Amino acid sequence: MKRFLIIFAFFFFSCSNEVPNPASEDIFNNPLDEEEVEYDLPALTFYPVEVDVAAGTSFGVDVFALGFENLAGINIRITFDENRITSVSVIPGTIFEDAQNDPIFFSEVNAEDGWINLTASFLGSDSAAVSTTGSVAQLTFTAVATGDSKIQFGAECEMVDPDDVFLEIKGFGETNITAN
Amino acid sequence: MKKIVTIILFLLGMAVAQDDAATGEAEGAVEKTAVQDEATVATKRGGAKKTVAVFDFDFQGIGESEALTFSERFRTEIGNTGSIRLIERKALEKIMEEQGLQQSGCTTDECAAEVGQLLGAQNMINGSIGRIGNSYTVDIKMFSVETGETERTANATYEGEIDGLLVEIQILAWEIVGREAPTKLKLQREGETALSTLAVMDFEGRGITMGEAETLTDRLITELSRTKKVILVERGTMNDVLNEQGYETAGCTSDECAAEVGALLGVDLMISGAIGKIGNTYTIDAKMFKVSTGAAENMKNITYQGEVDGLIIEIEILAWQILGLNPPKSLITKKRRGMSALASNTPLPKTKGGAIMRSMFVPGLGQLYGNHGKSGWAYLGSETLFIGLAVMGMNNYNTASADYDAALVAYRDATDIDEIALHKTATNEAISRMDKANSMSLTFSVLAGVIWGASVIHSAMVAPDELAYNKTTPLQLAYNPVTKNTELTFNFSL
Repeated sequence: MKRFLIIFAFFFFSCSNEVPNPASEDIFNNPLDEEEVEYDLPALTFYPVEVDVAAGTSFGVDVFALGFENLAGINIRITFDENRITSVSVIPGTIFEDAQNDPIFFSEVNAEDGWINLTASFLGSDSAAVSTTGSVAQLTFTAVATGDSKIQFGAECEMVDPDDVFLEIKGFGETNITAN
Repeated sequence: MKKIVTIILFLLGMAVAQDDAATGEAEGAVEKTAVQDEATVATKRGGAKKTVAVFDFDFQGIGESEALTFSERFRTEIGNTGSIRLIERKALEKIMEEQGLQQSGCTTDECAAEVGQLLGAQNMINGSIGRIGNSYTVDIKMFSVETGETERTANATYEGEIDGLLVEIQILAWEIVGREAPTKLKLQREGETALSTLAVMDFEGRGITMGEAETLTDRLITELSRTKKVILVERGTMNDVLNEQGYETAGCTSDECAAEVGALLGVDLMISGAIGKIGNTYTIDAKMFKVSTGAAENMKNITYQGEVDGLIIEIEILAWQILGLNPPKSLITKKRRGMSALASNTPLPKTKGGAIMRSMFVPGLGQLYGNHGKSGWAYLGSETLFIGLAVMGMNNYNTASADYDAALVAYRDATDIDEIALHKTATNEAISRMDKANSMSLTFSVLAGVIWGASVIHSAMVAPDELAYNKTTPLQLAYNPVTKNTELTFNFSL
């Protein structure tokens, strides 16, 4: 009888399945999801936020501007551990791509000191601006040594509106790199 | 009437056709049969056995010592056949030595015939063993010393370890004298060496008919084969041997005869026995003995009172016991219930325990067992329905879970704000569906459980009480039509 009850109980408990709970579990963790990010907006962030890579191989990290209103110019400083990773290339993002206005984009890479400067702006109409979340640049790095490191935003970052008025940057994301 | 005539004509036709077929088959084997008959007759005559000398086998691809061993084993086995008079190897060697010959040098039939004449042998046997790759070939020839004609040949091809060739050589020894090799050797060839071979003599019937005794013996044989602990010699094979040796099955009742038959069959063990009847009591005496020593391995006797058909169970149990095995529970149960109950297929009395057990395995089955069809089907139907709905819920959950996984991966991979929102919505929808499906599965499985439990309890409540018939009042007042009186009776079970 006891054995029967055990089988019985097992049968019914086996019918209960796990249901994910977004309220208590960190299910929605896309760093570009404005509703879910832990920092305040507007913000600058990277995608992805975690990179596992083998030493000697390359990986891509995108720079995103989140929740900016009336954005017309960008000047961003990105820093990285030059002993662990090195910058390979910088490709302009799509945030300022517009049918009417051509954007300008400059980048400066200093792999020895571990920083990258990105400058982007609309060329043409002085009133051109965007209010969106978009990609500023696509960066490609190479892991040169094993170990953990971070790609972060420097304090020199500036975002301006068409009138060159600074827009407050309330949050900064970062990317953790694990090179094996 | 017309039908009967048609059937009779059909059966006659079949019989004629079978005779024709048998004749056709026999034609191809005329020579062999003739020789076999000659050997058999000679054997039966006893004094008319042929005198045979066996040369050492020629060999190629194997060692000399191995070839000599095989030759020696062949001589031993051909002697065991009892069909010939074998000239000793020493006598053969002596003659050859006198003639200045060596066995290895006397390879021609003429030389062999010459030696055979000097030995006074009627037949000579020579043979050769060869090896090709992993296969061994053995070719043996028996020829007449007088005419030089080859009387019989036998050959075998064997693949495997060389020691396996021993069995082949032994079998060839039987075949060259026109006899069928014993079952034991054939079994050895098949690799069935672990089990003992056993033959059962028909039990002697004393006070019961021959047919009954034979039937019971048949049942014993069937049950012995069910034990899978012995290899049984077919009754037909045994009867063939008995007939060949001039015995009658019914006449071979003594231990000596049984042992002799066992030796001829080449079995390890024999079982013989008798079934007797004294008044209403039946006795079964069975003895299993080793053929090689004649010593009794096991003896069993059973005394039984009742109908003769009850002996069937007794003899089935005996089959296990004589081999030193415990009879299976089913036989014990059969014995307890009695043969008459089995014969009439009387079902066991229905019990509360039986009903509960059935409902435990399948809800409603206990009720059906207790003749409560409606409630039984109701329990069974509702249980099936609820389990079906629970399974459906689980399937829905699995589908939603797969959608959830896909949507979540898409959400995490998305970099476009609109796509992120889209996949997030899809993920949330999948979670919602998973939740609903899980609730459905859980609800209906709980309901199924409740029904299941209720079925068990209900089956216990409505099941027949097996002790009911014992609960009749011991004191009864009733009219007795025989005495035509109203009687107060008191009865109790002994």
